[in-house]
Amino acid sequence: MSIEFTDVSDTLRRIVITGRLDVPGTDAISTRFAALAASSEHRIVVDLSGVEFLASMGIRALVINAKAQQQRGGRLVLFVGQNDAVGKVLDATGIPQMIPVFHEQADAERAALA
Amino acid sequence: MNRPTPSVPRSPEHDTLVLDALGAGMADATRWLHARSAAQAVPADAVTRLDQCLDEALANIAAHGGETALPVTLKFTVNAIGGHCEAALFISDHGAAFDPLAVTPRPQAGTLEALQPGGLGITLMRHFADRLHYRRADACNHLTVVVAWQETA
Repeated sequence: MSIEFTDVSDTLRRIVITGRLDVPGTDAISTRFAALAASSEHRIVVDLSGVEFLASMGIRALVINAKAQQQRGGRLVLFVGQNDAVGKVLDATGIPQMIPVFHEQADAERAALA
Repeated sequence: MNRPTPSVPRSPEHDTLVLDALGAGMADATRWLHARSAAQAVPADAVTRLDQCLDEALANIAAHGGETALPVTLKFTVNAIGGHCEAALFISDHGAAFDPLAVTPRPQAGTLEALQPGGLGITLMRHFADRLHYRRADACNHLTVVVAWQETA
């Protein structure tokens, strides 16, 4: 389980999560994820393309941080690439209707900055 | 009824896992499920669906039963009738009665503002399992998760 970030620009941060976002995995990254997603200067793209498994606890962490960004006037979007397993889990919960999900990195970055 | 022998040999002595802790035990349960599935040639998509249900079930046990639910016993079987295969995951715990199937899934919020974090585990179990069954017996919760697939020639 790992979480890394890149400040793509002064206004855009990419957070890359890899591994299993299950209960233990979410516990392992939740504090750092919240700290990285709390930036008031950056819009956030969360890259889930390398996530092997997404459980409801992982989705909960995504929702909490997306709501926190929105309350600051920011925006958090998700990039899944060709990760069908993660895409299916997000679709099953209706999350894409509330947190935008993208298959192309450029689309995700444009949406975050819009 | 004529029940053909399962297509892959079974190893019953390894098809049960007892968890004495839920933190580290959850990772053990995941490894066990993947190992048993591989030994019985369960296809990847079915393993993913079982994995999803197991994680959500153990998260529910941790949330609703905590330490009082221990030990948690997992059993795994695979059966095949003709080309129709089913993997069944039996999850038993000693916690207070909790029927996850009686929980009404939360309606979709529609907007991020209205969305409440959490409460999606039951939705995911219902989506990924082909059948779910719950019963309370011997002061234990017994949840059965069934995932089915068609065997290809």
